[in-house]
Amino acid sequence: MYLKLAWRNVWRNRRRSLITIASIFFAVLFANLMQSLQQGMWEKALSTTMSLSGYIQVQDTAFWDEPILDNGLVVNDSLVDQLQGLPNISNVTQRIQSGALVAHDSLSKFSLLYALVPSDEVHILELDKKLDSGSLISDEDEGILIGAGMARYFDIGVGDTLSLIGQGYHGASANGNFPIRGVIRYGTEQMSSSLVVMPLKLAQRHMSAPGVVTSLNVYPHNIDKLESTKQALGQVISDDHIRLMTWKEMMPELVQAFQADTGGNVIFLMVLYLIIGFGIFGTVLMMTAERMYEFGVLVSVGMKRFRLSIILFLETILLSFLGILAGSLASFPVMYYYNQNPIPMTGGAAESMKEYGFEAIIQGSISPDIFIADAGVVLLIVFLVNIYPAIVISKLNPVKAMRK
Amino acid sequence: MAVIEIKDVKKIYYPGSEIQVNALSGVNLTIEEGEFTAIVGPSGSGKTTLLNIVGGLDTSSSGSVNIDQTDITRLPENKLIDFRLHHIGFVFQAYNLIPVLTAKENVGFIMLLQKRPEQERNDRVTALLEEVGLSDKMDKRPNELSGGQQQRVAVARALASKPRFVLADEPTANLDSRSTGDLLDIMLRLNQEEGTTFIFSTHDQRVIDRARRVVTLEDGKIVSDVRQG
Repeated sequence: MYLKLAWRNVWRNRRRSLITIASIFFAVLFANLMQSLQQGMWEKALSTTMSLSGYIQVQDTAFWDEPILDNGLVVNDSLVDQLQGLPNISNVTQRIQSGALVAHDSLSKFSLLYALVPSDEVHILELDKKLDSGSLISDEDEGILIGAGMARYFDIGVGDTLSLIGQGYHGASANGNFPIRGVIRYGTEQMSSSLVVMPLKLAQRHMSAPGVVTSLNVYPHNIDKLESTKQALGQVISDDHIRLMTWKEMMPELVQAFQADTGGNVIFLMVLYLIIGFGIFGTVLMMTAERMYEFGVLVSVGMKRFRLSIILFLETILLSFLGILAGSLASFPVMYYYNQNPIPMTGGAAESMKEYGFEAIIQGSISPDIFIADAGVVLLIVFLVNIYPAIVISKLNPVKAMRK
Repeated sequence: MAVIEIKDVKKIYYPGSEIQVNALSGVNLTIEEGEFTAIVGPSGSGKTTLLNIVGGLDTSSSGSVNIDQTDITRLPENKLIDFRLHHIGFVFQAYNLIPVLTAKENVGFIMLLQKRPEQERNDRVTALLEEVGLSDKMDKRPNELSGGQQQRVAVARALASKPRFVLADEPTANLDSRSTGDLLDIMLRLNQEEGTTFIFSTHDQRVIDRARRVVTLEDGKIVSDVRQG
């Protein structure tokens, strides 16, 4: 009955209720869209970066200060399997990340060499989707993949051979010629022009480093539980020479950039929430003021003040729910569209993104967190706004209220 | 058997100031079960103030109001609201029905507050609306009813909680003569057949003529207390 009463009261003044719902609708719509584009841009940037680095890395303690192969780890499959079996762990991959000089004919340039286990990583790096020509490499392959930018630089393609000249493990030289199996479009232009992907086994042989990796890259199911996952990993790897680092520790400048970007938008969001707040407060103020007589009657006939406050609270909850629902329903198709059709960035903003090594696109996020966060903030506003009628009703003198 | 015992009740507004008003100056009154009592007097005589104090809506400056041996002037706010809900029925001059509820829902609302079972609520609401001659208007909202019909719904609502007595403040003030007659017929029938105690304030001579007891107030004092016909 209380809910029925609240629902009918909402529609007593249809125009005012519609205006209130509209104010919530537009604020939720704009807040959702803004957060979708902002969060989506960072989700995309992070997923691109993290696919290469992992969200947590297991390294030798010396590697961070001096990232060379000599500071790598000697790992065995049983350790990897053990880590893989921990809660919240989606994947643990073995990597050698190094630099090498690459040459073809009379041209040469520096390359980023990623050695990995292809069968483990194809779905993480989505190499199959990024293959431009040729084929992917297998775990036992003797060939390599190169970035499209590098292929253009050397004017080479599938079937050609590339020379890699670098340093191996503990002073050994690492020189060799490798056939190109495929060309991939990966990351930014800068990355694409210097990327070489090689099977881990081939790289370990090439560098005279059997069983050596520069890091184990860890991919959790839930990236919000990084710290607890790191602790769980630490309990299994109790070695003073091994260090665990989250992406936030490895890339503090990225965290700062994210905070700076989101910080600016907080002001805009505050303005939107203020609009919602005043919209609801205005309605509650009117609903309270014009119904003092009725409140007096209800308290007179035996209605507890608390219950009366609950009915008013239900009325504002219903109004807010309708606004949130309408705003969310209207924003979702737009968010979904920009999720499927990212906006390409241009000019300085695009250059700035590329400097960080991100793709210069804005992809809308459709994360449920966005809808839940907005609904949560509006509900908080409703709670705060309802303090006013609760105070008015608690102080209500029924005789005076009915005299008015 | 006395339902209400009012002893030396005084009500002073703005005490100690230059504009002090003695709304009630030591009122003593006993209302017996089953009485049909009119409180009459000129404007400002204290009729509404007395009814508000008896109904627990206002506080007295001194004195006591015993209802079934409970001095309601000493009850804390929450208990007083509960007391009103279970012991007193109210009929207001302006009907004061909840505009968004139907006649049936308005009458049942008090019983809902009393947490009575749904079946009991439905049965009693139907019976009461039949009693006041509105069985065909159960699903109408107040704005679809005439003033007289709204006041009959208000009477049914006042009786829904099975109160010890009904307080009615100028119940016929906004009604035409025919509606007034109909309402009085209903109230008298409920009084005679079901023994419901009614206390009402009024200026209306037609109402005064049909009351069994007429208590006259002037300047906050009872100046006459007459039992008639």
